[in-house]
Amino acid sequence: MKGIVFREFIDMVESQFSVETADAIIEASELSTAGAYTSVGTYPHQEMVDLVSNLSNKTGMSVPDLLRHFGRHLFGRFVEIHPGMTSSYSDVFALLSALENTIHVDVNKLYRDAELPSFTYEQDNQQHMVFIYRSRRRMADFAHGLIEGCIAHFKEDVSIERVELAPQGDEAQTRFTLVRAAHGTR
Amino acid sequence: MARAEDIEQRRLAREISARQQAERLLEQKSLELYIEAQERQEALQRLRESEERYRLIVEMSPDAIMVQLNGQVAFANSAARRMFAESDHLQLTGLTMADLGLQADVASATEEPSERIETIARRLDGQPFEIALRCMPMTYDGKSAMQVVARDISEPVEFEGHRLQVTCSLGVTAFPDDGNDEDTLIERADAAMYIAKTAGRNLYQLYNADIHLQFAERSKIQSKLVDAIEHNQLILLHQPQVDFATGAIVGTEALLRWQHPELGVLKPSRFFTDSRRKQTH
Repeated sequence: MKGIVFREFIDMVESQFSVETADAIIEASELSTAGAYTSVGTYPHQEMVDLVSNLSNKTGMSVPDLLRHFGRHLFGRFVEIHPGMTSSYSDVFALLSALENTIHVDVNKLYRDAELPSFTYEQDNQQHMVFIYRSRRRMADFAHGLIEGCIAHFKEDVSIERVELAPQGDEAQTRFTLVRAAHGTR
Repeated sequence: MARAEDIEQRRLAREISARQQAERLLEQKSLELYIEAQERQEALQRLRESEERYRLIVEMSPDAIMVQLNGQVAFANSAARRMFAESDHLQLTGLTMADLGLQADVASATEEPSERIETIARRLDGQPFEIALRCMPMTYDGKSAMQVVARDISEPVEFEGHRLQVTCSLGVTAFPDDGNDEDTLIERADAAMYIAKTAGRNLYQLYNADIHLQFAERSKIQSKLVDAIEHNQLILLHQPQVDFATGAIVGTEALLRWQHPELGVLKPSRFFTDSRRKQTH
């Protein structure tokens, strides 16, 4: 997993929980670089799992809730760090449908060794979109939070219905059905 | 409860360590870039000095694929030579060759088993894909190498339950006959490929002086097409369709012609070659 995600996670914990909490979960986790992350580096995914589960132990919030929360937060940070990646999309559906073939291609240019999940989507009409997340990482909660962050960014009234599908090989599959409220943007 | 100073100290130590990691990564990256540039320079130098005359450039599409094979000179790394690929008709479906997992494998174009060729396909700058070949010295006949490339590209592939076959058009230049530097070779390979494409798909074309003239003429004509529209030089000729049995006129055909101020009346085949390429439609 890319260092930028770790850095953003630790920054979030420091600002939204406390510097002590961030230090405590780093100390409690087994980390290859003792919790020193640079945004351009790459680190084992397991370290994120450890950090999140230690944060869960410490705060009493569940791991899925924390991942979702972090996803929401991280989307906002992505917009700040890479404004160009979102500014060309007019709404949630436009951005999500460009994720696999445009945005992730750009991500791979910036971070060549990024291991990205794959997404497929179907859009029946302007009100409705089905989005399937597949990854060995099983970070559907994180993806869920990112989608919520995306919806918040565009200030749209879109609901998410989530269904876990049977895994395909070693990849977890989650289906997100996005429905836009009849009155459009709020 | 950890003391605030201890926490701050650890935090600082992590920042310092992260910074050191970042510096190492940056140094590593700039070294890689330096070595790549140097190897490329050396490969080009060897190419220039090489007595071996054959260098083959196969370019497979106007905007995306170029395969370069090298006769004598070993390209030291994948960055030294780049190849882009796009199929003849595939763009119509919105798929890219990378989606189909196509790779040209030129290994079988060589005869020596010890010869080493690496084919790497990866996405590059929004282009469909890049193939980089690492060629150790090898001998081959230019035509057969092209045939292998064309054959491998056109190998049917399975894609989402469909069996797809892709064809390509190839343009070829040889070093040093067709040019002494890379830019010239690529430009001329592109011209040859363009002629191959307009002559019909799934063909290859060796570069020659005629091609240069044909291409130059076509480019010149096409560049003036916008003016032609502005100056109302495009005209429609109407040709009656006559029913032989009755002698009655049953319809008309409208034929587009360009009243070119210097070249006279031109048929569409002289100026409509590949509208997608020049964006002149």
